[in-house]
Amino acid sequence: MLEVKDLNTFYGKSHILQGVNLDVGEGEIVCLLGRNGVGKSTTLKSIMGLVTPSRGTVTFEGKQIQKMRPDVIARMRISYIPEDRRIFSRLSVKENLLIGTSNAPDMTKARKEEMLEKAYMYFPILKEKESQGGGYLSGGQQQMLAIARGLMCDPKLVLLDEPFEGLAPVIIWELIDIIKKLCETEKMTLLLVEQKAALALKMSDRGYVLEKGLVKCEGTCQFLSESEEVRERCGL
Amino acid sequence: MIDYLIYVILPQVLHGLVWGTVIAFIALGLTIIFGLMDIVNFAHGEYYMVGAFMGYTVMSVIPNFWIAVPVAVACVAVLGLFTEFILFRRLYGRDPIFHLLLTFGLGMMFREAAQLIWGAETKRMEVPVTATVELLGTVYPVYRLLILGIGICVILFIWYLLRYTSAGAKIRAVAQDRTMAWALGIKVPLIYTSVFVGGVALAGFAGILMSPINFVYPTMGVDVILRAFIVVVIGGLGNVMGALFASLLIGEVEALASIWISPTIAETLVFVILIITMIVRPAGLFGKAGER
Ligand SMILES: Nc1ncnc2c1ncn2[C@@H]1O[C@H](COP(=O)(O)OP(=O)(O)OP(=O)(O)O)[C@@H](O)[C@H]1O
Ligand SMILES: [Mg+2]
Repeated sequence: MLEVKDLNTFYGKSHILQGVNLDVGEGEIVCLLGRNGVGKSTTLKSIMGLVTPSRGTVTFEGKQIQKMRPDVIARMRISYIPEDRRIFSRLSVKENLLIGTSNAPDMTKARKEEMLEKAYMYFPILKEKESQGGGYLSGGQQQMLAIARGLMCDPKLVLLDEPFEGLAPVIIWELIDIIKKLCETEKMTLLLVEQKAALALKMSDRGYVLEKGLVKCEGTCQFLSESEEVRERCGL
Repeated sequence: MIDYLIYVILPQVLHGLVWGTVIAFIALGLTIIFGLMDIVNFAHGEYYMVGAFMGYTVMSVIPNFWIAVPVAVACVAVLGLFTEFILFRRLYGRDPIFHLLLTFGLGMMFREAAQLIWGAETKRMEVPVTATVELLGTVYPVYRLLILGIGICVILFIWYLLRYTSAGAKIRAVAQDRTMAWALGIKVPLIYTSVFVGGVALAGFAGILMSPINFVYPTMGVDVILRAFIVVVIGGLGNVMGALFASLLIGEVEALASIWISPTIAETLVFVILIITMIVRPAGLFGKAGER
């Protein structure tokens, strides 16, 4: 479904991604692991068109998208849920969720209501806080809102960047349960970026380990969790 | 005492409301454009001036004010579309010094062009509604009340649009975090263009509405933009409610003060309010510290 080939991205003069290769099949949950600053988020941003790769291709459903604008990429039903959540604090929870349908202009009003109900079903707390400003939510609730917002468009592919950062363990387990349930019932395809390799490997089918802008190893979760190299690289 | 209230104060209060509404039209466009794309448009007053001159021109061909209004507003909107497409678009995300240079220069060009086309002398337009009404015994022109009524409707409409429609939610989302909004599929450039065109069309609308009671001349935008800037700063940069409140405040202060002191000194009073605000609440009356 998604195929990334020889992706090279620069920030000014610093060569961040030095030829990343990865692919995600339909219905798969793939994780992208690696330490601080190896370029995990940059990989997602490059796929999303938020930074322009200097070389390489990103192919989604057979179309090359690496030169497209973010809104065009988003309209192919790719959802980007960034690491710092970036919910709109001055918009209400409901408005935040509805903004999530911006990349699905053909969605009818009834369908939007349906998606809203579904979001509230997975995250009941959001229903409770529906008309509150996004800025008044706690960190965990903001993360839930960010995920729910990303799912409002019924995405084909979800790019999820470090959803557990800064959250209390109880909330992390709650989120993991919800994400697992979402993947099973909604047939979600997920590319998950995570530093906490142990968590990510429990949730995913396959994984890649990034180091200094290159994929150092890849394989099934079982293979990765047993590999000495991965344990060292991800601090397991 | 009652007589003084009715015959002296009341008309000035109404004058202040009308004037405040017109300032609000300019200030709203200014503050929304700033809130959305971080651009301080020093040429904004010139769209007000062009609106007035376009109205004047249309009136000299078809002497019907109610035809001239939509035509003038449409002309300003088209001008806005052109300038956004050719010039402003290049400013997004650039250093503010470029904004200053370009918009300041553009304003100057517009003023000079207006002088070349229409001449420097002031022009006067017929008041389209000459009727007056009696309010508690004082006689007041209907046309001014009409401006007030139109102004309130337009402001309510803008408020409704921004607050309660999905387009408004998108505009607010882009204003807060344009990158995230873009990644969620919102067509950010389209929002920029529409808001810019809407903002300057609003200024043009104010220009033609005011031309029957003010004069029409090439530098008329400068007089009003100064107040609009003060209003935007007092209300808090990018703050819509703040701008509305400050517009009325400035309009009333100017109108009421000119009962007792000369209008020029009344104008200075506006600056005094600005300075006091800057000292007491540097982020504006409605701005929270550290927020924009
Ligand atoms: N806008 C930017 N400009 C310049 N350098 C940047 C920018 N964003 C990130 N970098 C640098 O690029 C490198 C990779 O950043 P990236 O955010 O992709 O890392 P990451 O793997 O997601 O790390 P983390 O686990 O901290 O989120 C880092 O060294 C970072 O300092
Ligand atoms: Mg990151």
